Amino acid sequence: MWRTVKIVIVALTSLLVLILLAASLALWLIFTPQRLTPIVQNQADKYLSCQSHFGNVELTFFRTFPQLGLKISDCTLQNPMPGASTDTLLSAQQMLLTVDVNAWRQKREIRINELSLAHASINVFADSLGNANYLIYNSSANTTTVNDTTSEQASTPPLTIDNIDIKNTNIAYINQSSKLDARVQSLDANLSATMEQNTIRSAVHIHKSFVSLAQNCENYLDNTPIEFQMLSDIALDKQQILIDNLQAVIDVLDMQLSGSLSYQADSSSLYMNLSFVLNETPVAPLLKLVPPSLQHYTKSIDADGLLASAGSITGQFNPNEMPTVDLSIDLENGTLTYHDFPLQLHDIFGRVTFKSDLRTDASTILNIDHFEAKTPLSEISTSGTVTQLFSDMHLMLNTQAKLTLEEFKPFIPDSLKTEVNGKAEAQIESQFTLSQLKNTDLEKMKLSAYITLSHFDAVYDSLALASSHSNIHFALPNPNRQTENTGFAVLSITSADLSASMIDKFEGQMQNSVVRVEISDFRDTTRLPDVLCSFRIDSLTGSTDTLGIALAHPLGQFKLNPMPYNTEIADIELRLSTASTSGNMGKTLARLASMELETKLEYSSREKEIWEQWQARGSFHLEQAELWSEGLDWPVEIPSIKLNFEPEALAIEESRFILDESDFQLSGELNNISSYFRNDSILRGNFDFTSETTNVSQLMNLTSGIGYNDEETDTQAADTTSTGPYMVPKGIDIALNTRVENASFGTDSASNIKGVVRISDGILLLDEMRLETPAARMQLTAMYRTPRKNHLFMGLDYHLLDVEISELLMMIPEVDSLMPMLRSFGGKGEFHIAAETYLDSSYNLKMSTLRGAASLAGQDLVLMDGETFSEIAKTLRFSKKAENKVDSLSAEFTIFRNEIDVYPFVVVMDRYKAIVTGRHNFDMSFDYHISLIDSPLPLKLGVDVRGVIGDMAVRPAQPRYAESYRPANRFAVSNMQLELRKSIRETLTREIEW
Amino acid sequence: MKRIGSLFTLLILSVVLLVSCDEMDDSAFDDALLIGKWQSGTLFYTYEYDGSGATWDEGDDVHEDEAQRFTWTLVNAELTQIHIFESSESTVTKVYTLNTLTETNLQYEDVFGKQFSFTKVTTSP
Repeated sequence: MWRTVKIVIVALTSLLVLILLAASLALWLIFTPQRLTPIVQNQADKYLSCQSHFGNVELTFFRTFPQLGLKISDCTLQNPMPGASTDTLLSAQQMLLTVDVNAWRQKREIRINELSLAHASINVFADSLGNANYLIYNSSANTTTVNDTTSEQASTPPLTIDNIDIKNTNIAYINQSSKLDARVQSLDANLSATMEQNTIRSAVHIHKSFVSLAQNCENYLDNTPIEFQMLSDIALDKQQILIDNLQAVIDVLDMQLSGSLSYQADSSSLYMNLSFVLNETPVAPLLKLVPPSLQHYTKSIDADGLLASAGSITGQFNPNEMPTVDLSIDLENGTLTYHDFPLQLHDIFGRVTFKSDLRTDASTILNIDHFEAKTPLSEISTSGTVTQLFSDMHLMLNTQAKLTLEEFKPFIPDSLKTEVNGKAEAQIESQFTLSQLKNTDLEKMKLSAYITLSHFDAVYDSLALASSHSNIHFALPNPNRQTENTGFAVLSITSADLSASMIDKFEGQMQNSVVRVEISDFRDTTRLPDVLCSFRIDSLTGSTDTLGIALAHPLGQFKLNPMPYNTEIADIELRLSTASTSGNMGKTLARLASMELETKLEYSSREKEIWEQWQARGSFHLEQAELWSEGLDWPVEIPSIKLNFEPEALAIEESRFILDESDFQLSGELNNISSYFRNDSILRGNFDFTSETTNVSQLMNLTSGIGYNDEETDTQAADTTSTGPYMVPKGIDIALNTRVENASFGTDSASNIKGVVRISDGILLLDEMRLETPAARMQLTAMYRTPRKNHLFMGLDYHLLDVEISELLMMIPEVDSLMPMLRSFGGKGEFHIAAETYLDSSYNLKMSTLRGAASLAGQDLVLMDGETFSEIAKTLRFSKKAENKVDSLSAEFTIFRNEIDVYPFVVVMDRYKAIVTGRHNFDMSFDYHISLIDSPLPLKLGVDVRGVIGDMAVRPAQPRYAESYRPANRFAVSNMQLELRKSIRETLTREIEW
Repeated sequence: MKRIGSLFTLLILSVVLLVSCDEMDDSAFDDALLIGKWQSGTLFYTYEYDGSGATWDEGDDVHEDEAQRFTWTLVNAELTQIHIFESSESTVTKVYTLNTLTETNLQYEDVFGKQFSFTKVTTSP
């Protein structure tokens, strides 16, 4: 057995040696390079139109054992073309072709075991006319074999290329028509292919090579390292490429691709079904792949991170169709610095998916599954979808942000003088298109934002705003509108504390406030916006340099609508209630326990004057209010006031005021208010004034001077130490139906006061006021005008009933000047005076203007003993037994300046009856005559009394009046009284013309 | 009848004698001289042709435009001034007896012998 084996081995070895020997002989003796090279050169010259050169062509056997190879050294193809950078099309140091002869001999199969190209240079050039240097096949030489070739193609034998090996080869491809310049340096590649039944199964492996690619002078790749591996089946009959796996590394891009590409002749389209994966790729070097023409977009960007992507491309590609692209992009640990963006972004994570047919909006959508980024102090994340990418891009985003506002200072121009601090957390949902954003079509956009501000403060120029904690909700449009027209937007602010101030202007604070504002589209300048604002605040304070206000628990609603008939006129409703309020205006302070205000305002910006711009209707209710004014030594207390108002009228339903010594209730109506401010009418009012106690002087001081100009009141203003005279208000017509239990006026007092007090355009009228004093019952009708401060007119009818004469003299000392003889009487009488005069600013009589009449009547008066009376009694021979008592007295006087003329009157005293007449003056000088017309004596006696108080001369005189003389009642006072009342009536009833 | 005629004759004669005696007792003044503005210290009076007048006292800070009205009549030497109230149509009547009335001087006195003396400021207001 071993011998047999040994024999076989020896035989085979011998056979092999013989074969090798034969091959060696053939190679060395028959197929020598010297013989083969010319053959190849001739064939090349025959089939190639370009100049070729083959340095050495030889067959290899041992080197390519067991296949036979053809080795070509120093091969050169030259095809010069104008414009080409080189004449050389191909320059290879060495080429080797190895063919499996057995495969051809046994299977009629072309099997190229190896095709290698080493140290070669390939320069492909095509000019702008399409002439290319690689078109070197000499067609004329092939003409005779076309048919053969065609027949051969019809039965193309199987072709297998085991390995195409390219080493250190440089390839350049320049196409001037497409302005393409592609270069591969140091190409090392392996390619194997098998062709069976029109299907080429290939494997390509390009080792690390360096590629430069430029088109239109744009460098897309610049000596970029590339590695490439691909397994594919190419079905020639189906014109289809199946890519089992393609792996490519282009610089930092590491990607895999698989799928198929097929050309569909019936539709002249390319059908693609490709899927790809881009492995995690660092962003920074990726940016370097950006073509130079686009680098201005990225030159200011420093970015990094890991970018990955996967996706598919499926569908037809032809002039009418585009394949569907479905891809996702992931970014992790990204950083971004943009030179014009002062903040550096880091921790950027994002995932975006994109699906599109690259043609229609309906089939295109970009989903931002998640995106987040951080700045040093802030972070933001968003998600959403973007559609309509081929027309008006529509974005639907849900964004969250946690912002440290200090970071964003660099974004605010210095010219704005704005500074913002604090933190803001926001959740924003938005839907809009780019055109809506560009055109600010807010009514078409949807925006909802919840923002929480903490430790927030902002300063804009001199305006400052601060809040320790506030929640803000903003929605566009308003999803829960409470009125028909306020659906445009809603803003709701809930703030623990909020303060606002403007330097040297105002300061304001709110505590625990909830403010909600709904509004219509405020951009419509043809109409006023609809606004609905409701608020609930625990505490609201505000102040300016002269004003201050503090509201506790203000609660209310503000509503503004344009009027239907004129949209430029505002219809405003305001409801406001407060638990307590305090405020000050200068040194005037106010405080109230509660307030309720309901008002409806019409505002028109077209009017100039404020009372024309605002027309108010509503009601006002106040409880427990106090007012301290600089000019008052006491507070004005308002325990309650309830009133209704409208532009022309103010109706006080009920009210109570306490002003120091005055405590009164006021009710009634005030009319012509807006007309008064328009100077169309005077202010008219009619009130019931009911009081327990009233200090008349204080109330008069409060209303003094209203309606007077500075010239009329300058003297009063200059004299701040004096309250000055009461200046009757002008431009108003107010009637007070008074009922006062107790009143004081200076040192005087009265009770049970009833009557009408009327202030009518500078005239104060008292119409039959009835009052009582400790001394008398009184009735007073008076007219008081104040044409100027030192010229005050007073006309009066003063009727005192049952007056105690001594009290009367104390109460009205001027009566002593009018009737000095009253000093001599005691008891009760009736005093009546009708007079008019002017007064100076201190209420002193201007004697030169005094005119009037007075009367005095009494019964059973006690005659006070005195020196003058004793002298008179002695002269008239009065009996010592005569009672010191005047039975009756009825005297009348006229007053003109300082002269008091006494009409003759009768004095009855015991059994004596005398006529008294004469004159006395305010300087207390006397000129009287007394005629005794009835006495127990048989004599007719008379006396003249002349002189001054303290130096009175009583002289017997001829009696001027006979015994039968009875003085006529002249009714001087009554006539004047009637005339005065008539005049007052006329004043009260006249309509003041305006 | 004869007796009635005698009484009537006596009555006529008495009236004539009374009137004659009155004209003879009282001095007559030219009221045209009264027209104008008269001054006594700070006190002023104006007399108009139509029988109206006005008075004011600048000592009381009353100016001419604030003067108070009166009407006047001059019958022989009796000057009657009826001062009219501002607030009504009431009046106060003052009667004086003229002593002097020239183009520049005016003097009169009242029933109590109080005398007044004025100097004319302007002849026509």
